[in-house]
Amino acid sequence: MVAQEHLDELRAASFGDVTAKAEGGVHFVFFPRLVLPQGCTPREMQALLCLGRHGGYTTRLFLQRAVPGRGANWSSHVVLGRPWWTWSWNQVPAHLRPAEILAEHLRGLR
Amino acid sequence: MNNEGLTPEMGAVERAVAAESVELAAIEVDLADIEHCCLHGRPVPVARAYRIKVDNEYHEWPKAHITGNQLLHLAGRTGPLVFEVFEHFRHGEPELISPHAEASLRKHGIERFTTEPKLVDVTIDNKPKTIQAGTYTVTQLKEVLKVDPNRVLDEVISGEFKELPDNGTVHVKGGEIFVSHVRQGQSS
Repeated sequence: MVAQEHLDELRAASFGDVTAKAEGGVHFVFFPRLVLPQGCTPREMQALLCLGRHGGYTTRLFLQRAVPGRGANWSSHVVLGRPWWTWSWNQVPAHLRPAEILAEHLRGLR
Repeated sequence: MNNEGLTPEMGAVERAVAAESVELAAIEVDLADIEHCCLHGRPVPVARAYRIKVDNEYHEWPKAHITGNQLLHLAGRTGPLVFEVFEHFRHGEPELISPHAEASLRKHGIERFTTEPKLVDVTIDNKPKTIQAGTYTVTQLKEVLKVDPNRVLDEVISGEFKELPDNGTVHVKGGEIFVSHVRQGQSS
């Protein structure tokens, strides 16, 4: 379960109506509008932050689309009943606050 | 004098000179000590200069008015961090003087001026923190926010996480949201 204070932190950072979700015992945070780092095209898209282990990765950030020219080894996955894209970016620990996990994954797109 | 044909600028200069002449003609003393006048309950006379106390230091000021910015300058508060100026009266609460506002040195009861750091609220790692407004290097900001220097500091602006490089600067006005995080992610 994602703590309310952690969802509130993400909401306060202007991400719109972020919501907690779960599948197979893993917790996620859904962003209807996530702003990506400067230079990414497009700059905004839906995203799903996976707060637990997924396919050998400690945590993951899934995006609505792959971002050309950023990140490496993009792959497609079906999560929560729909396709998402993510890149190879590992070792972001699951014990961090969701905002920290998100920030560290976004660093991988700079 | 016939003002016909004068440009508006020349007219303004003429009015300013006339006003200054009136002021000069009204001068009663060379130096008026506003703290002394206040303590003795006397009105501050028209003077060539005014002795004012700013943060326990005395200064002479050649006009009957002074702006918040001029007081900050007298107090040496001209660095990257923001200070506020307050005027103190013998009776009553101190009043804030905004940077461009003018304080009258002849206002009855005015005793002295003080400067204080302008404090604002920011959020760091989901916790509120009060710090002084102004411009910081990112290294200084991490220290003030008590963030481990090895962590990455991001500022969240309109939903965007912007990494703040240690050699960059940040202007803190209040309301900023900062998130620090470990630098652990890597391509696999």
